[in-house]
Amino acid sequence: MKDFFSELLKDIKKNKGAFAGLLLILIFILLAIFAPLLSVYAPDQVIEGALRLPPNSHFQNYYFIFGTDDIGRDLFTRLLYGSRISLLVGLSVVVLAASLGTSLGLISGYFGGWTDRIISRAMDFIMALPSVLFAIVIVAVLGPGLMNAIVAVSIVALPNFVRLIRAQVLAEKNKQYVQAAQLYGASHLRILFKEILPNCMAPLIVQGSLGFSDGILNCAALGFLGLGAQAPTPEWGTMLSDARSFLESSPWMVNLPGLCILTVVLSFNLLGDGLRDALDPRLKNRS
Amino acid sequence: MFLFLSKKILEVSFTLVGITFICFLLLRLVPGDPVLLMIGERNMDPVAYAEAKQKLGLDKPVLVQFGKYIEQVASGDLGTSVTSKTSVWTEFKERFPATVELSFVALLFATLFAIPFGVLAALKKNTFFDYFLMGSSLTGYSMPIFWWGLVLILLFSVKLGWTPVSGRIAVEYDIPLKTGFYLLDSLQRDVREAEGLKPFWSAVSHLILPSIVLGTIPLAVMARMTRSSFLEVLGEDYIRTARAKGLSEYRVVLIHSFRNALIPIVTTLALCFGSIITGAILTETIFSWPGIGRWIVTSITSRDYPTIQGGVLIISVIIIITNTLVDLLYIYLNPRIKNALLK
Repeated sequence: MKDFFSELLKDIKKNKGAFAGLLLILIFILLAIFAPLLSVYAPDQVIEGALRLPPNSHFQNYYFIFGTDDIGRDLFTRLLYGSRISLLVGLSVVVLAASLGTSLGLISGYFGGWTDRIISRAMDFIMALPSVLFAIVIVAVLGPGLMNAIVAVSIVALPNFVRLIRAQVLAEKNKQYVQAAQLYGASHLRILFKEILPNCMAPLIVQGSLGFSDGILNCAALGFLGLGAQAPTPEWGTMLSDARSFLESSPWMVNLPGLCILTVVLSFNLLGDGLRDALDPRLKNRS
Repeated sequence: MFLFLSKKILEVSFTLVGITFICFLLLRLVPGDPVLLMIGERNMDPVAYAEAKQKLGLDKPVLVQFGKYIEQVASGDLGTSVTSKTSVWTEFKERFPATVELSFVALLFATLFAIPFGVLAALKKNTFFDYFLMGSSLTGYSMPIFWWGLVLILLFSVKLGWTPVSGRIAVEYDIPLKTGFYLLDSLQRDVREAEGLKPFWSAVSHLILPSIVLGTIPLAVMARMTRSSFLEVLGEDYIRTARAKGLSEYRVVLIHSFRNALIPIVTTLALCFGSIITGAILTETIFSWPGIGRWIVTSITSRDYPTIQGGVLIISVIIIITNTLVDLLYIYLNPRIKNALLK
């Protein structure tokens, strides 16, 4: 496993795009962790009178590098704390969808028959609806809020993982090492998680990286529609939506959260693309 | 072939029933009393309440209710909006052409740019040009389109004043709607005689920004797909043969490669349909475009559950049917699969 990751890191270093993506992600992670140290303000701290100040402004004894919003909160601080939310959202979506999706995919592919048919049909239902529409339906039932948005987006991301793992299991389950384990008397659970799963890691890592970006983007979209995180949570999509009416007079309030979303999503996509190139044997041999 | 088709039809009907069931459950899972949700009133007197409950069939077992719901949907009754008190189907019909018009122009925009970009990137593989195009395409793919729309409005509508901010046509033109597509309706003879081509250009100018926004992600996806599809085809033996015969590069690219590279591109284009609806929800919200995307969003914010239920059902049925047609189109386009099925 250690060799696998050091090999992977070497491949990523060779791919400029993926390397840039990885660096940007690391920067965002550091910003998110050290947010309280990097800013003197709290994300919901209102500085009276400092309304919609443009970036790089001084006000009394305060300095605002990215300006302030419509009720006088420091935008830099809110964006910093927003990176915590976005990364956590991405992580939760990937962990939820990947763990549930992997289990379902393993079961579905390994046991086949009716179990497989039921799981596959359920995934078809989810795939039949456009992602945001399906998430909207779930949020309509659960009610708006960040947690519910995460649940909705994870459910939408589920079929990608299930299908991927199922296909992988179908390819692996008739191989000799699996038969050997079966003959040896290993339990189904052991065969699934100890034998087959490690051989599904490569596509799972790629899908995980791409799932991160989808999760962040979809949650931000729900936030923008007023169905995700609610004010005053400094979630980028919600911040952008709240700032819409100030587009003309204070464009930075809209553009900075937008740029943050774009950068994070792009970084994960760059990394995901690079990982796919590195891990897909077909692509690897071609180059 | 017959077996394949009947299997496909069975599969689709299964999915349709499943989606109908999800939509049916929707109103029953929402916190709150379904009777009050469907009637849209807060405080009803007990007699009226019992009457409404019986009328809606909510006093029966759930499976009977589902049976009744299917019957009701099959007869074209999708429920009544709580806010406007008109039937959901009527509301849908009024808004659907707006979304179709926007999606069509957006996909046209996406295809017109994506295919040349993808082909050029493939031909100039690993040059600065290729990196630039594929970098832009990945950026487009990662774009939060709700922000992208606002950036374009800020630049082209607010700063430069080139395009209108919202709506489908300038308010001074009141054109009679025949098809619901403003691009066609504004070209009717009586409109042209009265106003000339001005209403048409107004409709065009209103479409520019929303279709760029809605077309951005399909453009990015298709450009990447076109590039990889072309690279694959350009590596085939018959292309080497064509080159060895001394054919011009133009002939090799346009005649020999293009047709074969087209199959995955067409499928991608068709599969963009689902993401177009997702995009339409966001795009229509930004540009106040009176289509079905905005309709769903407003019905969520006004807690108009019958509209959400009916609306989601119609949209999913349309998507399921389109995707099935795409599958069949794919088989038609790809002779290898077709022959395998005909055997």
